[in-house]
Amino acid sequence: MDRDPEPLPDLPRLPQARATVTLADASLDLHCAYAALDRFATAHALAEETRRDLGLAIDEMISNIAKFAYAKDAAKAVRLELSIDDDAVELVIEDDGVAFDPLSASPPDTGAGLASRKAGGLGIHLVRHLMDAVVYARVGGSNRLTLRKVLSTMGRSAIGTAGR
Amino acid sequence: LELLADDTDGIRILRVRGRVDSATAQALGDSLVGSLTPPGARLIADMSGVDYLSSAGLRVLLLAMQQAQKANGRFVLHGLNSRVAEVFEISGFNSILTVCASRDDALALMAA
Repeated sequence: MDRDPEPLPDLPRLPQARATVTLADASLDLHCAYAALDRFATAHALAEETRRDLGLAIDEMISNIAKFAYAKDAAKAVRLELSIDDDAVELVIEDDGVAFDPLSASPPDTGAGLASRKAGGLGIHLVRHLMDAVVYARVGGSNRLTLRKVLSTMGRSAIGTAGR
Repeated sequence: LELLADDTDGIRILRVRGRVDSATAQALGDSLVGSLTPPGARLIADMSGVDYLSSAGLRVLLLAMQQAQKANGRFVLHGLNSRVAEVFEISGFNSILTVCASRDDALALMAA
């Protein structure tokens, strides 16, 4: 008589390689974006530094959208999408505001003295330094910013690599 | 964001804990500028509990330093973690803010 086949071991559930979140209000719902990033970072065992850099990029770019693309009427949606491949995390941020290319801003004067120092433009300046690629496109009636953060050998912990 | 002020011998030490971003920077800015409004005020910001600082945070630190200069006060920071230090570096903020390696250094600078 045939023996029952051995039950298959539970396969580890692979994390979704893509996560999307829509913020209903660009000026108020930053914490929703952080929560989505934290879930994504945990699922893919992203290094703490990678998570923080992506968090900073989300903060800077969404506050820019609230300030400029949506100007006085910031209670509008922003769409975020996080995805990961072998080399990098990609973050796409989309809004339906007026055409606004944050990359067109002139770089801040980071050498000015205290009295004449301005704080404007530092956000995109930081993001350009902390991300490996930042691309802007106007697509239909939307602004789309695509940011790429390369995973260094330290970009992902050993547990994350083993689980993939 | 958590802010804890302690006044000793005419020096205020403000412990800052948490994330300084576009949602929380205003509270930090109000506290810093408020502390630096009396003429000659001396303020040390202990940043060791700050794990994250965005350009909104840089903006209020800049305003605080400008206020310190205006009111003939002193404003010193210490306890930056490596990420916050990197943000300072990228933004060129080391040339306009006074950053000490330790609280003792900050206190010594205040006494000088």
